[in-house]
Amino acid sequence: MKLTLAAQFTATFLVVVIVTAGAVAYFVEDEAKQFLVEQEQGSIRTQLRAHSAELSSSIENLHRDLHLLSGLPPIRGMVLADENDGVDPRDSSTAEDWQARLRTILSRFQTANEDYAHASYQRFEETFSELVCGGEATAPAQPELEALALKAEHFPMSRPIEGAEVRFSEIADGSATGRHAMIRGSLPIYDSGESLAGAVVLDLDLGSVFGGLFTPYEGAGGILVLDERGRIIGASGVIVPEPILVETLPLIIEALGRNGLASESWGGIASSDGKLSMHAARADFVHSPGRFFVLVSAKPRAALFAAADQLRQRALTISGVLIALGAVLTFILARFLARPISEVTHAARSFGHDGSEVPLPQRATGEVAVLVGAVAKMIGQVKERNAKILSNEAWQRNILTHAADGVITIDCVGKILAFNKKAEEIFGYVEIEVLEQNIKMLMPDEQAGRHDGHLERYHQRHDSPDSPAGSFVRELREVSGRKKDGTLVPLEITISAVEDAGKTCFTGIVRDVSARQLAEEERSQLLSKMEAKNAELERFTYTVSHDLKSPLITIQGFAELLAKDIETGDHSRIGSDLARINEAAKNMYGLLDKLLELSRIGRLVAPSEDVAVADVVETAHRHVEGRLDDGRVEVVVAAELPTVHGDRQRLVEVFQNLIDNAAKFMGGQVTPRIEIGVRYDDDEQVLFVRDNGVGIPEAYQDRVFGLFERLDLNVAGTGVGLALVKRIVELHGGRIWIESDPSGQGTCFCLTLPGQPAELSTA
Amino acid sequence: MTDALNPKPLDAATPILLVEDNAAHAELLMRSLEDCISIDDIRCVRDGEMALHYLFRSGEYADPVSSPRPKLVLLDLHLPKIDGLDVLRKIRASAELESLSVFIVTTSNAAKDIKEAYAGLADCFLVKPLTPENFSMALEDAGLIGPEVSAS
Repeated sequence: MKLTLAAQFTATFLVVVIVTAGAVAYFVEDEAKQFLVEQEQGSIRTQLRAHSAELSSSIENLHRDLHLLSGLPPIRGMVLADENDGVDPRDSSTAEDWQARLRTILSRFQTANEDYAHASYQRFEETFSELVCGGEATAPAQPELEALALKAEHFPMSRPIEGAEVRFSEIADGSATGRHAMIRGSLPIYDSGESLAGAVVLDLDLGSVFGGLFTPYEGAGGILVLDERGRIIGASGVIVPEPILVETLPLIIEALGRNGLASESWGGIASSDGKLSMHAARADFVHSPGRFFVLVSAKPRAALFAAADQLRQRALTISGVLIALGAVLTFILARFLARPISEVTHAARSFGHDGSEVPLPQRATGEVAVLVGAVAKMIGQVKERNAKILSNEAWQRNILTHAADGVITIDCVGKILAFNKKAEEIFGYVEIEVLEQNIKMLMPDEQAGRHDGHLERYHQRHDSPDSPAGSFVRELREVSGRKKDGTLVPLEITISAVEDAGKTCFTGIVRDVSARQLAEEERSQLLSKMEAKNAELERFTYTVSHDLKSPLITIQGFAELLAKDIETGDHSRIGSDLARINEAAKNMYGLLDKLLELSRIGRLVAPSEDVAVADVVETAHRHVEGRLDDGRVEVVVAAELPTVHGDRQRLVEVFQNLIDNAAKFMGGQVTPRIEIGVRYDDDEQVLFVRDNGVGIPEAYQDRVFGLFERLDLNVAGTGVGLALVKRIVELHGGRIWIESDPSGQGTCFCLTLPGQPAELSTA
Repeated sequence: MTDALNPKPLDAATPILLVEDNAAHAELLMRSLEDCISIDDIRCVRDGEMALHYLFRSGEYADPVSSPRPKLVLLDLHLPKIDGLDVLRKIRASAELESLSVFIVTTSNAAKDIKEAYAGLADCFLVKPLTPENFSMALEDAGLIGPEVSAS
């Protein structure tokens, strides 16, 4: 799914803000907690330190008071009195006197000092027994006495050298009798004989010492007082569950005791269930090593962190509100920013789609305005370029359309893609008839069959690198094209391959070369005609020079002989020699006449006309009739003879010569016969003059048409007649040849003459 | 009279075959030859076909007694029926006529004719009119007569 720009902005903003806020909140909360805890702990520590100092000073006071009391005169007096049978030898006071004085002092001491629950003197006579006390009411009750009672083993029996030491009792738990805990301090008294005589005793009311301590604790939590063995000797505030105390307190005692820390020492520990934060401080007994109190503050963590939690809650609420507000603002801002962009997008899209122009946003500012400007410029440039391309295309199309050659473009499988005007002219198709059709439709079948193979080979060769393109590309070739009417047209074609977007197209430029081919054919025909003419002329010259030379040689030869004979006087051969010379000269005349005649034939005398062969034959027959009658030759002319086109007089000469020739070579034929007719060989009209004479061997059939060629020297003639016939027939565009009768009897001269008017050569 | 190069000189008993369609020319030639060498027996035919018949002893010339084989043929080029050159080629193609000398005697002095004649292995090419001097020189060149014969 594509998110809109606004959504993307908002999402990004939210992610950044939430992550930042989370991180900040996390650190702030942590710091706040730390701060609160430290503050609370500091307060607890201060409190504990104050209490511990107070407790230590109470113990010190107790210690000092015991020493003070033990030095009082009544104590000394009582001991002396006891030693001297109840009377003090120094002033004769009785034991009772001293006891009364001591009682008064103790009462007063006790009254003045509320900390002491009980002040007394105990006499030692095997066991301790209380002799004097400050006030009856304050005497310890029985359960407490068990902890407090003095025993002989507590004290040295004789005075120690360093002086008597105060002994602190265990702490008596007064809770059973609804009183405070107490601790008893006692100092031994020795008589003159240095033996234990008794002890001064002060019971310290810990409740009065810890008075401030046991007031209800502010907030949750409370304070416990422990002795050095971990026993709870006092508590205030919340009641800590028993199992937790059992587990936790020994740890505290152990930590404080083991470390041997001074009274200032304190530590922090969490309760075993993790709900309480506990702090402790030690208060040492002065002059009594190893004895100390422990003050433990226990406070629920929840209470301790309440403020931090509250802070966090508040912070979360505020940041939540701020984030929501920020998100909304961002979204609105993003929408505001994105709208011109989407408008530009729309404009670009519709321009790209169909070139339609949607107005671009006008209100854009900043980078968006730059974008709008750029897009507007781009659209302008694209329009300009499109117009250029279009005009260029039209220009090129125009060139192609009106090119002097046919231009056909096909794709890689032979489908026609373009077909210009000239191609239309050449093939007779209009463009729409051939578009999308295969190019093979324009080829003769044989060529079409090979075309797919050409294309395939081209692609194969072209696929392998560095190979030359197919041979049918680029070279100028001559091919045949098939026109719409099915006729073939000779074409000259060049093909070029064009790679476009990975596809190969072929463009063929075709030129109709039928006119040129026709011209070439005409030219080559003319050329061969010329060559034939040339050869004929050469032959003619050669023949003429030979045959004209002959009589001259004869004349010259006999003239020389004649001269010689005359010189030698031999006149016998003069007559015959002269006759030879005469004959040769005559012969020469005859040859020259025939030559002139032959040369005249070169120029037809009359214009061509339709000539009935029957008329021609009849005329010819009449001309030679005299000779035919001599030989009694029968001439048979076919009833149906065609009409041909030509020079009547020349055609008469043809038939006259042929009839004459046939009659000449009848040999010993008893029933000489000449037949003139027409036959049709494959629609070709063949006129023939057939005789039943001697015939012409096949080997000589070509030679008889040669100039001055004579087959039989015994038959009169110049060897010009048939040459003349051939020349006339050929001048009319016809052919003449000899066909032999299979039996070897007779000759058949066959000739063709054009039925249609032909342009007769005048060469 | 003979030497190693001319084992069989021309003599009167050996005929010369003259192939000439022009009777006047034939007569001129024979009269030239009479002045030049003493030969009684000059056979004359008028076309190529007859020449071949004579040489290969066919047709009317089948009898070797009446038609003795010549030592020399004087051959015109332009002959009716079979052309002189064709006659020459037929002679040269035959083992039978191996020792036959052939002189071309013609009115033509065309280079083409001369070339073709010698290509057809003619012994000599003589252009009409033929003088006795030319003719005896040709006979000498061909080794048919010795100098003393010519002198006689």
